[in-house]
Amino acid sequence: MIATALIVQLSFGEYLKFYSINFDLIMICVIAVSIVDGYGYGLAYGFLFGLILDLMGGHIAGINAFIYAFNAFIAARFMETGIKKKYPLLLLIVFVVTEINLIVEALLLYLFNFDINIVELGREMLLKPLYSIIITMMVFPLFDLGQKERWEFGFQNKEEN
Amino acid sequence: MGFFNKRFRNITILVIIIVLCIIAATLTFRDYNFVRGSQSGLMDFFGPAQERVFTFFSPVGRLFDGIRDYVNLREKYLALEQENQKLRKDYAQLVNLRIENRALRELLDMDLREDQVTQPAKVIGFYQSRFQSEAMLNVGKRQGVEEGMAVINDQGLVGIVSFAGDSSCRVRLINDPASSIGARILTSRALGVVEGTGDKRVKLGYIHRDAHVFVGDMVITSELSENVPPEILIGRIQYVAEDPDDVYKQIEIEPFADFKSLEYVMVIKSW
Repeated sequence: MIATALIVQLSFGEYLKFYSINFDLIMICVIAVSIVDGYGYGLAYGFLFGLILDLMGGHIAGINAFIYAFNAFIAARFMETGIKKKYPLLLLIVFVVTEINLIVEALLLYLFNFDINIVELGREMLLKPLYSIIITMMVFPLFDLGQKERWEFGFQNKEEN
Repeated sequence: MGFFNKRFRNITILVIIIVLCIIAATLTFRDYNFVRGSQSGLMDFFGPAQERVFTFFSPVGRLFDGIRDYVNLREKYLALEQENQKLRKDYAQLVNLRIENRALRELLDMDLREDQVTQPAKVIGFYQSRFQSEAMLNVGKRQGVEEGMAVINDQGLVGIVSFAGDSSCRVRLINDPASSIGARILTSRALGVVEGTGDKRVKLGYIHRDAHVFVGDMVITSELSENVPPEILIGRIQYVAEDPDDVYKQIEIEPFADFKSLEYVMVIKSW
């Protein structure tokens, strides 16, 4: 699934830019794996596919590997707190991870002596989470298929009703 | 206790991954053959699948482009009308100049400029992040493509081949933050360097503040570059500013090549 996401992102990503903001399908898949299959799988897949993306992209190997592994870590930490499987919480995880991603990426850019445009970063911090959330709603149900305990809409638990 | 053990184990795994990432980054900076081999292998492995997906999704991509273009259709039409009028005048002038130039060269016994040897290629993917702006082509060393070769399309310069695998290659687009290409301003003939930025804008640097620069002027490749042929269109100047503390002007360019609609390009092998 993540391999497909990698190929789709590299092939189709440029077409789906929204106000110059790229979507990050791999990040969403890594979060989904981390939530559905657990911390270990999330970290392993995040690191592996991040490294593949780094090597294929020809940039500094390890940057995406670190970012995606860190995404898996954050998503798993959310799940460890014992939250219920509700879509609003999933979207909150995606929102938080996207924001953290942007900040970590900007810090790494700064460390590697790239220019950082604060206005552009601000715009991305506003729009990218929304974009990620829309894609999550389309992609996540595929990961949730075949799970005993399905993710539910709404804030209240069924048992509470 | 179990919770703390689990948490400790999780953090340990993350630390191990961070160390592995640092090792990977170090290997990249040291430019080991192993890293280059892995890059080439991965590009060739994923290349065919990427090409199929890209071809499959192209119509959908064009639909998105179409919707985006439709919004600005009238403005674009009027601008193109004006440009067309200007180009017709320029064309007539160019034909006269070409005839005159040929006659003068013959008088001087100089060789006319040789045609470029090119390799057509198809774009099969993009690598877009704030760190980079690259495209992947379906040609590589087997087709004679080498690192450093210029890539153009019918609109102008697209970029430079940054890495050549056996059957695919990566092109660093001119808006990539690491891109740097020698250029000239068409009318003033001032020499500068076209550079990309982290937010995908294209700047023209090292133009002295005394140089005559105006918005709308064209920027072309310079003859001083080793790998890029001269006089290839790069873009149009869209912003000029001066900083009293800087000896150079701040110039932004709008590239002629539309990176979103890149589909087929030419790699210039020699000229």
